[in-house]
Amino acid sequence: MTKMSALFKTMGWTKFRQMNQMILLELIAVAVTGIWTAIKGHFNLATLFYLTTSWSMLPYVVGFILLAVSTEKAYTADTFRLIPIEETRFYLMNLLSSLAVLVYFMIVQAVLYGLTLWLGWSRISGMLPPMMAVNTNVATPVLVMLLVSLMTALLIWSTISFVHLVTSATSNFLPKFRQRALNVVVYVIVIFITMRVAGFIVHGVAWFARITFNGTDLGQFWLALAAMAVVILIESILNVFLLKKWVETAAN
Amino acid sequence: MSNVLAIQGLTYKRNQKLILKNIDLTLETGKIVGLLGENGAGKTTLMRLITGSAQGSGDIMVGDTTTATARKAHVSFSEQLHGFNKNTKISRVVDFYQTVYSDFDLSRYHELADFLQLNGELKLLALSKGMREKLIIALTLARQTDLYLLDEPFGGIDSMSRKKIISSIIQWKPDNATMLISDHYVTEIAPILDEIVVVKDQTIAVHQKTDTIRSESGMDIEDYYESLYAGGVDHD
Amino acid sequence: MKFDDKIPIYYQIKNYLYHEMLTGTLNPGDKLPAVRQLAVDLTVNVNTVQRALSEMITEGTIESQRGKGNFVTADTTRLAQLKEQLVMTQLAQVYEQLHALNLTDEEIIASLKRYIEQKGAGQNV
Repeated sequence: MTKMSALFKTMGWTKFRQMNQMILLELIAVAVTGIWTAIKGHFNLATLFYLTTSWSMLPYVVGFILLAVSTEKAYTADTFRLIPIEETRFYLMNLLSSLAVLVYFMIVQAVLYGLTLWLGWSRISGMLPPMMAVNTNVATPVLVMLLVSLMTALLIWSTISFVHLVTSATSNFLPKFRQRALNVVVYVIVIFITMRVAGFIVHGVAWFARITFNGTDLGQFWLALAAMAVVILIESILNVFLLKKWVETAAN
Repeated sequence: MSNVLAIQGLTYKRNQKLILKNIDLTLETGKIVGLLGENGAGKTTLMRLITGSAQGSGDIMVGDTTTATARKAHVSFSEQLHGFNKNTKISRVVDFYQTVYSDFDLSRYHELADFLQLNGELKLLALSKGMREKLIIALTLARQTDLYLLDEPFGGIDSMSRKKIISSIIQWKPDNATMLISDHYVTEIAPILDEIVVVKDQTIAVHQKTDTIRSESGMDIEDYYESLYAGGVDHD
Repeated sequence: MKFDDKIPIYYQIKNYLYHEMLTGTLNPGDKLPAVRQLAVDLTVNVNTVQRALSEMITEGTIESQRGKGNFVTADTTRLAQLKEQLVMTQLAQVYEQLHALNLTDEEIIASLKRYIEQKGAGQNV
């Protein structure tokens, strides 16, 4: 049997390379626009910070999608599915390696922000509204933000997997004719149901939080996180079940 | 002699269409077996069911394991490397195999790669059909396992590559391992086969030793195989 | 080597080795190549080579020495027997075929002599 660490390493490596390509493209974009700004004579110490912050969203979104594609590809590719490892572990390592690479991407962004902010600090500090400069507790909101974005990523990925695996399983089962049309119907139904269930749970929890914590912001956040975790868990259990019983790899 | 593969009552449907029906098949250890049948007869499907890549109903035992997950550790299948990006280098693919398969033997791989003249620096997209097939054979045989499944390893490649691949099969198949090779043109591999299994009409039509066929029918294997199709009148 | 796929391969391997032994490529007492090497050289299955060799060991034309490999028998009378046996098998075929053409034994001998003379004459030119 293959060790989880070995699978994590292998799956992570490909995704890691993908993300590095994104980072490289981001750096090139910052450099090119930086030079362009300099040519036009508007370059100052803060320019790099502004460029980095404005460009970073694009590689994040594209990278996120690429990670989702890699994750899904592994479920139906013989290259991955022939590896002797139990499906739950396979599923976990696939999802966690994507998450790890996403965290890596965030850290790189944080470093880039920090570096460019430090370079342009003399200019930027003067423009900050005074209340932000004296903000005492930044750690908690940042932590909560980070957790929410990671949980959101997991939720989106596991939902994509769920839709993918359900359609993959049904496409083996349903008659071949009309399969395309049926696929579209299945997509719509599954996405609709998932949204409704997720919405229901999140709303229910929010309502529960309102009456329990009486509007404490952070308490609500934690509960929202817990609700997301529940949805992720349910989807993951279903995904592993589908992988075990019905999902086949793409034939050569 | 002990069995490496035992299939009982295996049925497989896809899109509500019956592909394989109630198949029983037992293979002994240490054999090279040809899996024959027309295109679309279900040869690949049978292999995919053994590896667990396709999901059917019935029992499949490889060695003493029954679950699909456990079976995977005992089966080396010539997978087509579609899980890799086209610009992946061969050496990266080898690293991948070495990391995820504990039975992958790197020195065996290097012997095979030398013999088949594979260059690790090449990227997958730069490989010719024959080169790619050689790489797949080297990766598949570098694992030290009980059952090897080679799916159409000679499809559309030149005769020199074919001969090299056949030689590497003879040289590197472990004595106590069994190898199932699917092909729809049997003449080129007939001399290396102990037995043939013919998939026809959704089931195993024939499972016979090749030398028994030769001595009993006086036909060569290709003629014998074709005679299976000449007799019956099929209306499908 | 090319095999006739109509005839059991183990049988053809035996004939191939007999030929090597009687023409002197393999001398009495010589070591045979390893089983897998023979399989590679002849492009056949290891099991088939093994079957051919086992039969030859049983009939005494080769000898297996534990841990060392297989050797052509040093027993020259056994090899002479083998040669006689192969010659007879070949002749039996020719005889059967000529007999089927309604030739008498005397006619067969006469035509064989004629054939050898003609062939000999042809080679001398």
